[in-house]
Amino acid sequence: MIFHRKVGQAGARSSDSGGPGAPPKTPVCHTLSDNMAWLKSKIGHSADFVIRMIEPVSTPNSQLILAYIDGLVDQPGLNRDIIQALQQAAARHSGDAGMWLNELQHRFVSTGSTARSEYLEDALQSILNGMCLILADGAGFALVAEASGGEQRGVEEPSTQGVLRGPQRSFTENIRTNVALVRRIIHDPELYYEERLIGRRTQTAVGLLYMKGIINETIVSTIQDRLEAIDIDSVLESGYIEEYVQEKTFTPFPTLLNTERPDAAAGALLEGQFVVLVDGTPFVLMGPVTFHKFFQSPEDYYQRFDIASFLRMIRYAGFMISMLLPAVYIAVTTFHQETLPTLLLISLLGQREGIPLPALMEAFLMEITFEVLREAGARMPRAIGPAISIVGALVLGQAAVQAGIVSPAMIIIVAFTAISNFVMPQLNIAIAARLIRFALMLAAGALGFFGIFAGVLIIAIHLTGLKSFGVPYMAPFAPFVPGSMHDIIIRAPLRSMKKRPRILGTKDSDRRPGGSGP
Amino acid sequence: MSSPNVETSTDRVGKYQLMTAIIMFEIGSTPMFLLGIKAGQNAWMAMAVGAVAGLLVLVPCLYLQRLTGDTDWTEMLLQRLGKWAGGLVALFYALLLAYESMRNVRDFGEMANGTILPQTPKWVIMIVITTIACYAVRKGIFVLFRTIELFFPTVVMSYTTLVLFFFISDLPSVHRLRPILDKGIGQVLGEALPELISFPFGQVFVFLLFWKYVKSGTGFVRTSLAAYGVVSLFLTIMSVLTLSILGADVAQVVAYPFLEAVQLIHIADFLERLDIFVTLIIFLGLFVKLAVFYLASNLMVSRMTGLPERTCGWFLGIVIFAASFLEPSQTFHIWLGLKVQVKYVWIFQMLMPILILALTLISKRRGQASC
Repeated sequence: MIFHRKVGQAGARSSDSGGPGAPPKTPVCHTLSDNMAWLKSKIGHSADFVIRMIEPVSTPNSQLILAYIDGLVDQPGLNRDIIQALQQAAARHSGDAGMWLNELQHRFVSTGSTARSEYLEDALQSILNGMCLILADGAGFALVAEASGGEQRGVEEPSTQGVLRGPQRSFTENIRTNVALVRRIIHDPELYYEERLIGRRTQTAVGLLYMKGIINETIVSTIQDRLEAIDIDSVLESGYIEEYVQEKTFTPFPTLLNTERPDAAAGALLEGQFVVLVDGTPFVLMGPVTFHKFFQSPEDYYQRFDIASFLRMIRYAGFMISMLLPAVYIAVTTFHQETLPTLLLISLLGQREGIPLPALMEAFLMEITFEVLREAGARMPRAIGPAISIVGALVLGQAAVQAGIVSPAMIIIVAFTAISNFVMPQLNIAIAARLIRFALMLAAGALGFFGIFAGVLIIAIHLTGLKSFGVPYMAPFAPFVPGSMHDIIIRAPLRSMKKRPRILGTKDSDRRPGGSGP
Repeated sequence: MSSPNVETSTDRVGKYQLMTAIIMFEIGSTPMFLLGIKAGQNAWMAMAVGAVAGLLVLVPCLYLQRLTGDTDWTEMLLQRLGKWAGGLVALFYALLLAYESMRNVRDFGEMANGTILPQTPKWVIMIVITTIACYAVRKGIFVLFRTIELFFPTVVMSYTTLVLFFFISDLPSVHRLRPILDKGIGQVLGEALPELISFPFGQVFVFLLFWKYVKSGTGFVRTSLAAYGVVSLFLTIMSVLTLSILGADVAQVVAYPFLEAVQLIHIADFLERLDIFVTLIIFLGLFVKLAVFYLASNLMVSRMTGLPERTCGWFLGIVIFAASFLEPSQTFHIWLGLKVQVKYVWIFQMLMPILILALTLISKRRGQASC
């Protein structure tokens, strides 16, 4: 019998757990029943572990076995490509199980990838990754064949990052589908894809995509090192990866972007960013990012540049408003009434007549109420969502004013602040603004405009001190990078954007080789 | 971790950073006071003379830095004057810088009390601003300089808008600047020198501690000179504007002439009382000056004691905050700052760098001769 001493080659997606200190592995033994007993006891006789036994006609005593997990495999494919092949091959069984398995692997099984497995641990891991295992009595190795499939959600419309114009497909939970979605946009061999398994127990596939010819090498090696360094037992969503790879700074600001849009991911790749995909979630990560990235929407590039520029400025304004407006209101009404024109002041103070709470308390009350409503809206079953929103927002607001607890101006402030928060294409920076808002309200309540000044100063110092994969977060504002301002606050016409953004230090900086053109 | 790119390299100061830092530092709180007002309607000329005279500080400093290359002020002192004398002088400079920083902390307290927060205790304002400065200083020179750079566009736009508003409201009038030089050029020179060197123009010597961190090949000499030119022009223009709006007589008696001028802006019955926002912009300048002095002092102390900068930052912050209470009253604070110290500080800003420059040149000569 021929023994191929290849260790740990149990299929493309098995773990590489042969390092020093790893427990010794159990080799596949020659007796079929022993192997089956080992597998069954390891998996705890789970009900979804399917074992199918096939007896060759010629040699009824040397049985063979097909094992897989129900639901993880593609059942029609399994029937067509493997079970049929097994039955055909069974007729040719000569008695030497090893030779027969070899023949099976190379001539009969017609799935994409097959591999030999010498150890039962590897074989079990392959089964758990959605492959099927073929064991033959008397052979000292097992065969694993790719059969993964089962129920998957299809490619659907993006649900959280919608655009009016632009592609309407979104990433799914399947990592390979997601990579393919990007490859369908960028047909370039320089689009490199690496995959590793992270999570001791979940063994989650985590992929890294980048454009070899564009991205800066330092960035690639940084993300590779940081992914390699992750050692946890589970990865359930890309948020896990995000927390582990970002710079260790205590900050409310996100230092990685996430998107569920393949076109956004492709855009990021072409600007010299990397994309990290995690199996089981449609949200992929993009980095390194700088502050302004959170204000760009893929739609900016599908619309006319003047309109896109206007919308982008609205977003910056919305961000500022959602951070500062309640604080400014508190500061003006409690400390600096003289800044307002007299008529406006009289109208405002008239409304506040009879309100029992100081402006700070009033604002806090309403802001907290709104945050509760918002969180409730996000968690509520979809069927009753709108009804509760109306009760919450309209009835509560209206009643609070009529009861004389809050002033109508405060309702306007709170509502406008809340709406401004939603203009951000990226939810995670909007949340940062919401958090900071409360701190600024306190500062304004204590020290008026000086408090806001101090708060903004702290935020600015904090932001300029942040980095994302070595790139300063506030670039290209600070440090100012000349020649890269054409896609920051405004979105210049595509024709004038001849170069990629310089802040990421891309290797190939030309977007339009040759320059001018029509 | 190393930055992926020269463009955004975070362990060097870039050209624009240096430029904005010098401009913002020199602006500081200067527009708030009408310096050299004793020269009457010619105060703006005193400002211009001060700016030109300030070159006597800047040029030797730049020359010195170019000769010594990759060393900062502390190292220059230690090299040229020896361990003991140099250390003593360096300690004196660290204290001088901390004192300058402390003055700005106190200014914050006084100004906030005098403008936007009349009822809040001074110490609250001062502790808030010292804490923020400490936060910035502990993050180091690069973060502080980037922060300054971040605010620069806001400051430029604010002052531009303000000047625009002055003209829209039709406030400036040339006749308030006349007669020009009625008491001769001597009076203007007498008012400008040496006071206006000491504050604000000579303060630029503090960059002797920062030029070392500038990216090589940036041409820091040219950049610094350009920034200095721009800011001199700006301060002179602000002086001219304030004078031409208020007139010398009014400007002499009010506490903050610039704010008085801003309060005169009335546009479309809506834009009035802009002084609060202008105060905030002035505060920003004040903060920059405070933090830069604090950082400079911190660099010197940390260099001499061998303690890490982040640790030193704490101690120095406490010292600066505590020292800001030494002056008994605002009157004393202003008297000390704008009357007394300005007569002497220029000596340390100008003569010491020139002395070190001379020593450096001599030792270079000797080095060449012996070769």
